[in-house]
Amino acid sequence: MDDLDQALAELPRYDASEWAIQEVLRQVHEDQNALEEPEEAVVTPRPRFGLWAGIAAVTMLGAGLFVLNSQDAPGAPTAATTPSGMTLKGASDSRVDPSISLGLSLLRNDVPVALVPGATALGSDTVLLRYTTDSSGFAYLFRVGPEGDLEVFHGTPTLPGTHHVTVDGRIVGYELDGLAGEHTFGVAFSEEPWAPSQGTDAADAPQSLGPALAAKGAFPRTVENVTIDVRSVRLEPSGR
Amino acid sequence: MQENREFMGDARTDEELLFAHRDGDRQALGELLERYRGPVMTYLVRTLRDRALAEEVFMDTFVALHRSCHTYSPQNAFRAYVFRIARNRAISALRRVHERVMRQSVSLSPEPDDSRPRLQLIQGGAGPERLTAAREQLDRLEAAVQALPENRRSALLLVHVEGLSYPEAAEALDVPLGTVKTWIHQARKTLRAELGARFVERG
Repeated sequence: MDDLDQALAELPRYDASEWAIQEVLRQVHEDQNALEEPEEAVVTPRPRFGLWAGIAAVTMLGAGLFVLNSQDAPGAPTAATTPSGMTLKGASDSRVDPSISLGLSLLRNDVPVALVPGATALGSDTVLLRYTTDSSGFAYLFRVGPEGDLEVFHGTPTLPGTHHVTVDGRIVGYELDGLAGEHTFGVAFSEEPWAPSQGTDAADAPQSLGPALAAKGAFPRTVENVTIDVRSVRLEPSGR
Repeated sequence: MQENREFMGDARTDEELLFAHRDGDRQALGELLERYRGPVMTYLVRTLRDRALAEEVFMDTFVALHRSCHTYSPQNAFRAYVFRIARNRAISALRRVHERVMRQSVSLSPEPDDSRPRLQLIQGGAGPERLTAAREQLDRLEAAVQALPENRRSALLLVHVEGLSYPEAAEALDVPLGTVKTWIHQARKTLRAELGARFVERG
């Protein structure tokens, strides 16, 4: 071994995150479960992030309706593929709406914390967002505050798969400092980019997101070519 | 079958774990993931130069491994098999990204800028510590490795960083053994030329 070999051996090493490991296992178990189902089985349209399954959000958006009704999903797509693109036995070949799902976790004192149902966040926490989609298009991340205020804080072209929210290839998070009450974080998927009329996406966000947010039904749901999924984050009253 | 029992979590070889997974053992894939989360992720980060994308391809690789495990033959080394999947998936991801960049003529408005001050960098930013001379040297080596053509870089990383044998690397890269030797020779020559005196070949 010479100096070059030694230097190569000293190059930094990387490790897949625990979340990535769990996501692989989740997808594999989903595959295994699907294969065990009878051919005519209907595939659950919503890929679940186990810890966040079953979460419900109720938020008012302006004067519009924004009510989550988990028992009523008229617009929910019947997926023919899994989020990672595997064709499932017995699934229809007809075109289906894109699927998208959002997963949240918290970064607290530089340590990732699962956002389990019923948990509250601290004002010093940072929200980490990731989404899974089965389609190519454009993803927009947004937040709806307790008063119905809407903020679109990130947009990016996207490919099928699971994605962290990144800027220049680096993972970013949403700081909760200064916020209070319950906030709904969401991801919206559109095959085409939203065309900003006034040079700001915020100006177009209500008209692009409004119908999907106002519609009744479970998340994720697709309305007027926009598919959205949401998760809520409730901050502790003290903010800390 | 390659003996690979140096890991303490499970006494089974990689190949035995893959067969166990194929036969329905739901713990086996988890053990394989533990064994390869570092090696495959390290390889992917250097191949893709993007940690977030590398993690996506990492997940893609192991889901693909699961879906192809019925076609795996024990005549192939498992290490070569998994790195071959990882490399193919990485190349596909790079192509998709390239196509997307080429296709995208629309300027997206939601660029992260000063109107979104809440999005904060979580990782990968410049550290507060001053870089030492040794660290700078390592950074130069890292940059030089990343500047290598993909095939030479992959061959070098698989053999000199991940510890695959030359035959395993040839299997992973799907090329003859002689080609791997040539690629690695060329890669080492390039690195020495780039990095100067410290890495002049000895003896």
